[in-house]
Amino acid sequence: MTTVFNQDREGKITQNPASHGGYAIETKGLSKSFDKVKAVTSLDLKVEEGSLYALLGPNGAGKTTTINLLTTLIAPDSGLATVAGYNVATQPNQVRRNIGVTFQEVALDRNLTGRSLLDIHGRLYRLPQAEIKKRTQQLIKLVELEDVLDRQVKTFSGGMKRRLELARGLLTEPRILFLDEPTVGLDPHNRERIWAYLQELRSKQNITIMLTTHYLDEAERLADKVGIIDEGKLVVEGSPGGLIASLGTDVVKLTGTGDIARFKEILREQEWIAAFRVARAGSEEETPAGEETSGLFDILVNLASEAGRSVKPLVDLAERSGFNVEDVSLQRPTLNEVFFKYTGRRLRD
Amino acid sequence: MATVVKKRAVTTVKESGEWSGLLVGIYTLWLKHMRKFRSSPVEILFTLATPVLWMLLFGVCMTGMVTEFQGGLGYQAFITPGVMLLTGLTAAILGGTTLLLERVNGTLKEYLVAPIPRLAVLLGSMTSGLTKAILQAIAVLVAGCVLDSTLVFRVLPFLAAIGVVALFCLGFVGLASAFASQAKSMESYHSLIMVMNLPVLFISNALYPLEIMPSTLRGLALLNPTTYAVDACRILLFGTKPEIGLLIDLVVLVLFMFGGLYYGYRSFNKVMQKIGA
Repeated sequence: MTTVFNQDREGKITQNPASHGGYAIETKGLSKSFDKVKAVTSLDLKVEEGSLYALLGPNGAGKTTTINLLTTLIAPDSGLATVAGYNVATQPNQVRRNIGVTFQEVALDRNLTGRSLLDIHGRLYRLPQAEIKKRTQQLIKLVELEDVLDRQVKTFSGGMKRRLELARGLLTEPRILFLDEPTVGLDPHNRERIWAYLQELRSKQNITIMLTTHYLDEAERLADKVGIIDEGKLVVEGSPGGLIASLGTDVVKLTGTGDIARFKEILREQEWIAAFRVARAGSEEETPAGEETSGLFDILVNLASEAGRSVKPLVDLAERSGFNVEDVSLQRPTLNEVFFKYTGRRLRD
Repeated sequence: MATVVKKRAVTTVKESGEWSGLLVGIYTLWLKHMRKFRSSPVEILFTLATPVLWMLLFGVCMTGMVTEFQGGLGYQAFITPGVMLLTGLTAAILGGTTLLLERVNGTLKEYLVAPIPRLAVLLGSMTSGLTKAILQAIAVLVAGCVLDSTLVFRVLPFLAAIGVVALFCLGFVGLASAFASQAKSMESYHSLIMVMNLPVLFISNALYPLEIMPSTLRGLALLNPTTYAVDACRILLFGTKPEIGLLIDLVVLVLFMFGGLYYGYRSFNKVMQKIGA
C-alpha cells in the first residue's frame, strides 16, 4: 500500500494514518449510556474510504448518539472508535480537523448573514481568507444559495438553512462528512435537491459520508452500505441491494377465498417457491395455521426465481387447488421488509 | 483500554498547537459576537439606555438634594463610577445570555466539533462580553464628563478606572457564564440575574457614601465587590479620600475576578460533559 501524505492546517506534512487501515470510520465495542439508559451498545462499524454509509433506524435507536461519539462531541464509556485513523477519545483535535458535521437540528446563528457564517466557520479551522472566499463561491453555487448569501440567516426558509449547513460542513474540505438526518422536515423538492448535491459531490471528489436517516428511500437511493440500528445495536448491515436480495426475489401476493389448507400443502410441494405466508387481507400479520377459515386472505409467496415467468403457473396452481384468486399483485421487497425481518417492527416513513 | 477512554481532551490544553488553537478560537468567537453586536443597533441602544437614564433622571434629581460632596464633587460625578459598573454588569450578563442562547439553540455544537479547545468557547464569549462592558463603561464616563463639570477628563486616571471596571466585569462575566451554563432556560437565567442585579447596586457605596449607611448595611456592602470597585474608581478618577483604600480594593477585585472566572470555567466544563446527551 502506498503511503499517502496529508498536509494539515499548519502546513506541516503529516503521515495519514487512515491510508493504512483502509477504513474511514471504524468502531469496536463502542458503548455509551446516559443515566442507565443504554444509547449505544457495543457497536462495531466499518466504513470504507470514499463510501456513503447510511445508519438507518427509528427515532431513539441511537443514531444521533453514534454521530455524537464519532464527531467527538461526547466521549464513549467504553470501546474504541477511530475516525480518519485517529482515536476519537484521545486525538479529538485530529479527528475534528478531518471531519465536517451537520446536526439534526438546524444549528445556525440567526443574526449572521450566510456569508459571515461561512467566514466564521472557515476561521475556526484556520483557513486563509482567500481560500474561504474561493470555497464559499464554489459551495454556494453547489447548494444554489447565491442570491441570498448576504441576507441574515433568520430570513432563510427551512430548506435554505439545511443547504447552508451542508455548505458549511463542506467548507473545510473534510475527508469525512457526517450528516445527522440531513433531510428531516424538508419538503420533497428540497430533499431531492440535497440528494442531488450529495451525488454531485461524490462524483467529483473522494469523500466519505456517513448519514443517519429514518427514511428508507433516502438510504436506498444514496447509500453504498446501510447499517440498520435498533436499540443501540447494529442489527444488520450490507448494501441496500444485497439486503433486499437476502429476502429472496419478488413477492407475489394472491388475494382470494377458498380452501387454504389444501393450497398450502400444494405450495409446499413446489420447488420454485421459496417461502410463503398467509395473512388476512390487508393485515400483513401472519395468520396461524388452523385459523384460516372463511373470508378474504392474502397469500404472500416468495419465489425462488424471477417473478416474470412464475405468476401464471402460480395462479393456475391456486385455481386447481380450490383457491379462487380475486387479485394478483407483485411486491418488490424494500428496506422496510429488511427492517421488519431483523427487528420484527415496521419502520414508518 | 478503559483508562485511555476516560482521558478526556475537554479540559486539557496539552496537545501541541493547542495554544494557538485556543487563541484562534477565542478570536474567532469574539469576532463573531462583535459582528452580531455591531449589526444590532437595538442591543447597543438598549444597553446604553439604562445607564444614561440613571445619569439623567436619578443623577439630575438627586443633585438638587445633595448640595455639597467631598471636595466640591458633584453628585453626578459621584455616581458615575457606580453607573459605569452597573453598565458593565449588564453587559457581562448579556454575555452570559449569548452563551446560554448558543447552548440552548445548538449553535455551540459547531464549535465543539471544530479543532479548537472547548475553553476557547468559554473565553470567546467572555472576552466579547468584556469588550461590550468596557465600550459601554467608556460611554458612561464620557456622559459623566458632559453632564458634570467636576468630572474632568484625564488620560491616565480614566485608563486606570477602566482597568478597575475590567476586573469587576471579568468576575461577573465568570459568574454569568456559570449561571448560563447551568440554567435550564432563558427564564430561569433572567430571574436569577434580576434578583442579583439590584442588591449589587444598592447594597454598596455606588449611590451614597459608606459612612451614612446603617452599620448592618455597611457590613453587607463590604461583602459586595461593587463597593471596592466604586472606591477604587473614585480614588483614581477624583483623588477623593479613600473609604477603604486602593490596595485593598485591588486585592479584593483581583480575588473576585479569579473566583468568578474559576467558577464559570468549572460550571462550563461540567455542562460540556453532558452536551449531546
